[in-house]
Amino acid sequence: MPPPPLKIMYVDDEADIRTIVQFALEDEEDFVLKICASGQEALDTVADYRPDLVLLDVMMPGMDGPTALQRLHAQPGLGQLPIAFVTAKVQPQEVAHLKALGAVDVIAKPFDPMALADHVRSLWEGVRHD
Amino acid sequence: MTDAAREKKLAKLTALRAAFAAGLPERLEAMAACWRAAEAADPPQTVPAELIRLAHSLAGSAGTFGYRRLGDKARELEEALARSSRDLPPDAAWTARIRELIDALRPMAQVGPDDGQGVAADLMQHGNQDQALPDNRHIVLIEDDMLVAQDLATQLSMFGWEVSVFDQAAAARTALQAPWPAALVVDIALPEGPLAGLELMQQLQYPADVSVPHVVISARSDWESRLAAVRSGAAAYMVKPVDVAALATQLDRVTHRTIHVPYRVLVVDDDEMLARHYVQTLSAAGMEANALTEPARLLDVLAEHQPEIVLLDLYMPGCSGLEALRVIRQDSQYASLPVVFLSTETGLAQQQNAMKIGAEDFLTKPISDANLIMAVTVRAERFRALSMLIRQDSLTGLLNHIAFKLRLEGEIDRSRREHQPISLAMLDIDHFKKINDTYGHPVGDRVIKGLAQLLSKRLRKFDIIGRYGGEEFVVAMPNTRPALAIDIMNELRESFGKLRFESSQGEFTCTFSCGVAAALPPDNAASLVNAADDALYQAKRSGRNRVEARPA
Repeated sequence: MPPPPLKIMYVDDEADIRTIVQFALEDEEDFVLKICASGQEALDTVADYRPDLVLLDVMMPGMDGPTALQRLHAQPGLGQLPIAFVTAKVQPQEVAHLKALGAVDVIAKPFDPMALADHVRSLWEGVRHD
Repeated sequence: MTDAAREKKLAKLTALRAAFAAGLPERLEAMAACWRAAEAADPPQTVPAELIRLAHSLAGSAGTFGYRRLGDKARELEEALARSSRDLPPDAAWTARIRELIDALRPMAQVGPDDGQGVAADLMQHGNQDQALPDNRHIVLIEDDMLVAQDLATQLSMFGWEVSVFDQAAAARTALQAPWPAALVVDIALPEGPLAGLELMQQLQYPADVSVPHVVISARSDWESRLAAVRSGAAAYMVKPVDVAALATQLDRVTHRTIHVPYRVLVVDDDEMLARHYVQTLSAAGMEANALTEPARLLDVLAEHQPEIVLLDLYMPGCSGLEALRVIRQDSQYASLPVVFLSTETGLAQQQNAMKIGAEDFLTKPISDANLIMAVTVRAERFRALSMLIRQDSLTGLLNHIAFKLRLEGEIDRSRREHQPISLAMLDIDHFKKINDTYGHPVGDRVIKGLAQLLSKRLRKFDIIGRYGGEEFVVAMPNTRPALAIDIMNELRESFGKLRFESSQGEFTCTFSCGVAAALPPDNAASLVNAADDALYQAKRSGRNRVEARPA
């Protein structure tokens, strides 16, 4: 029996990025995808959806990525929810800072839409074996 | 991911990118408008929040849609805006910097994706693929009338196809396997049944990455047969008796064998290293690129290479790019030749100046290889399409009289400089007036097209073929001594004599006479043409259907 699909939640305020992420991840049989347009939407739906992995844009208006991460982790039972950031700022100190906030990984923007699915897969392998 | 899934996904990505690209002008205009409004506000608004949002949005998305440089530039803008709102009071330098960044976005958007995965990369791969493709000239013909089959096979071989013949569906089915033919020609009716040919086409199983087009031939011309052929996936339908030249044209079309002549590009840059790099990049993408480092030779090189696009460095010693462009434009035959400037200059004023005197576009150095290839390809393609309309003979697609003479002059200059011989052949279809009078003009046109097809198929890529008028053709053969030219023409003459043309009064064949002139080194186009014309006259007088030669 194949393993159950990986439930992914992707959070980004940019409509363009949501479109391309949808394209990059939707046809993969081993993924189930939910896309949110804001940190608030993620907080509102995370309990129902129960993702295995959250991918979170860092710079968003209103609630930014780090705040969203803290609030997601503060939800009951979600303290260990794996969350990765997606950001254009991937200098080592930025990455270290984001990881210190509790992120499992940092994905660089811009990303290659054709390679994102594989990137997420290897990221997930890393999280599972951690 | 399977190849098919990947292909589908790439197609979808291309559509998404196109949608993103289509929205770019509006987004950039919104940013520019936002900045104009902020500057005009009283008191001036320091950092418009909307502009920061727009810059941030573009910075986040452009790179992912393939516009890496645009994304980076938008990021710079976003950071410049943010830095000022935090640390510094806005001053004139800051204002100028923001304006400059906003201005820089538009050309980057116009250039198109630059991540090496967009159209340019496809073009690059395509160029390489073209060269790697083996030349598959094999056709399988399935026809139960062996007389018709053998005849078609012989005639198709005149156009360079190798034909295997089967007279039954069953035999063809067993025999058809890798290596696959380039195309199938199949009769609807075979011994197995009145539609057995089409049934066979539907039963054939190819591997996923193979597709073999089929052309249907049939004695019937009714709607049902044609519909059945369409349903079998036929690429073309031809009624018997089959016009072989037309069948050869269809086979070229369905096998994508319409020859792609490489785009001719001239790079003018005094920096030898850079010029060489551009030439290498463009050559690798399948183009015929030449470099020129001294602008003084520009007109000679233009006449000789007949480039379809010129890349011109803006700053050169002795003569500026703008001056060189003016010189080019003064010659009316280059009035529409696309000239693109390559420069590190990003100033709008300078660019506008160049546009004003007829530059096609302005590319900023350094330019990525993929961008360079794309910028050159799209412009050369358009120029070729437009100039073909002007240069082509509409019946045959060959060069017309004027266009041929221009090319001939270029070739003669080249031959003279390289001390190479050049041969010129003039061909005239024998008794053509009688063909027209007997069978009608449409049939006469088919004969002309047949000879044009034969010449295009059988001559070499670098030979230049023109229709000189009426039933007269002309062929320039560079680097070719007269003895070889005479052999080539005699071979063609024999092939042409074997082509059978259909008419309401039955089949007929025809012949041509030919005069060859050659010179080493050639003197000028006019004397070469006159000598070939004399030789042609001699061939006609000594009984036609022959090749005569004259020294020029």
